[in-house]
Amino acid sequence: MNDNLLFDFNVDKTAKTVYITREFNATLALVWDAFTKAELLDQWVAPAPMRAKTKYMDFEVGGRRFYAMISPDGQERWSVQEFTAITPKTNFKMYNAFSDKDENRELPGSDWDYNFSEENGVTKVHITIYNESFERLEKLLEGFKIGFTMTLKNLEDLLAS
Amino acid sequence: MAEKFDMTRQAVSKHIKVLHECELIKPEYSGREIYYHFNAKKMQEFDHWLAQFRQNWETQFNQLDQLLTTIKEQK
Repeated sequence: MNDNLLFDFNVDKTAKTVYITREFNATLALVWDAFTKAELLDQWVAPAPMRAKTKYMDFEVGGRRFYAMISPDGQERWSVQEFTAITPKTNFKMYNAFSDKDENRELPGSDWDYNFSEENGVTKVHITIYNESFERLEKLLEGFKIGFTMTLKNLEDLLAS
Repeated sequence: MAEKFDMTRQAVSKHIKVLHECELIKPEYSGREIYYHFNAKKMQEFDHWLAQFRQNWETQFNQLDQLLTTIKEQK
């Protein structure tokens, strides 16, 4: 399905910066919504069978999204995203940090910069993550490991059927 | 080394200490001198670790592809 769609993932270790570029076979309006509306975000940001649950999301400058990644055994990993700049259908920036279930943030977090552009019906998304610490990446992985193993299991089941 | 990198000896020592702690360089003692070697294996481990992170993004984006297709079909 995504054979011709670009996917780039680069890490500048010394600058602690992660660069991600991905193309999507959809219009800019649709992709923008998928990245900025809670009900759509919750449907794709957690690798199955992990799931994402947004408690609330105020997509405006100074607004926040408070959400959790939930593992199949019910463990919740909460995060707070604070939107620092928004240029509709072009760019948005946020400050992302892990938190507890009461929204107390574990600082420092990282700065995320999203850029969107469309050409011939294909939308390109550039994501830059600044000040990403390896410690925080490790925490992310801990949460995802279960998810990833389960994804492989899903694939196995699919191939067997 | 300090001359080569345009930093103080103290700064170089500090960098060496951190690289050593991370096992990215291995010391080889020869009398009063220490020769440091680059530990490529450790760097590879680190890249493998990062590859898992890339894999997570790939999984997420594939899910988004599916979602976008579903939404387009509904319209």
